[in-house]
Amino acid sequence: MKQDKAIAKALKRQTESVLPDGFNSRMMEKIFLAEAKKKRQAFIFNICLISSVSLGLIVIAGYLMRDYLSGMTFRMPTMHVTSEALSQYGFCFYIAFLVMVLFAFDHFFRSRWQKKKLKEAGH
Amino acid sequence: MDNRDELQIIERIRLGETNQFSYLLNRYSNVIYSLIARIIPSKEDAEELTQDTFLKAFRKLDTFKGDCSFSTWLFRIAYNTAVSATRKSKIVFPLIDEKVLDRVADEEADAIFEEDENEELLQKLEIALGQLNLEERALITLYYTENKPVAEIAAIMELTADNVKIKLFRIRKKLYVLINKQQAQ
Repeated sequence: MKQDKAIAKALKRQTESVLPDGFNSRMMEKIFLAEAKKKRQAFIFNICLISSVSLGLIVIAGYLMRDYLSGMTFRMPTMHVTSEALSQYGFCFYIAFLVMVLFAFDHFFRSRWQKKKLKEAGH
Repeated sequence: MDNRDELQIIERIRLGETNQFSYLLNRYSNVIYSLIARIIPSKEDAEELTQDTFLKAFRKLDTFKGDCSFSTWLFRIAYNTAVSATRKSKIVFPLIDEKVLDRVADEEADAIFEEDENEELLQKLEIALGQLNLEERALITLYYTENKPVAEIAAIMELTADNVKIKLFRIRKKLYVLINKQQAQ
């Protein structure tokens, strides 16, 4: 079939297909607009998601307040902090601190990895 | 720019370097336009569909997994964009009875299409090419003009390689019949 010189020639002779000047720069402008739109849509989606989750939590809180806590009389809690409880608090703060440190490490290494990947893609 | 460079550029675009898309545009805009312009007769429509193709490619870039080459993936988007655009406009293409095509021997078609110096034949062939439907035009453009292998054409048009070969043979026979019809008139 590759020997079909006549078909190849006739196809070549048909209208010369060249894009008008400035097509690529116009196209890039559209790409940048599309990117901005994509970011805007992602932002709106995130806002909607956060709002609906927050609203859900508020509704759940309201429901709990109404159904479970309505019968209770409010009184200020009295706190008796014993030395044993204090050591437990200390332990909890220690664990919380460790979690925060791990989060910081995670963020640091993630950003380093991303930079490295970008650098590799550059060469 | 080889395939590895291209994949790195795609990765950079995914990571937010949108200006890198201009490399892909410079490389593929003319070939994509050339394919669409051969399928869609109007130059303005072809330009608009080329724009749509690149916009779709940019939006769907995250879905490109690299299981085929980027050019195959892009040609597939271009072909599908052109197909859906023509679906709206109901163009009627001449139908040829399958029995008539079956009667044409491969050797007859081989003999007529091997020659490329016969001006009268080339003119008739150009008219016959204009009577092919969209899928047929895309197939022969990819095969004869873009010199794509059958396997790649199959990937672009979402057909099997055997199906592509059969369709190519039938298109040759159809062109042969259309040329003969012109001679008879």
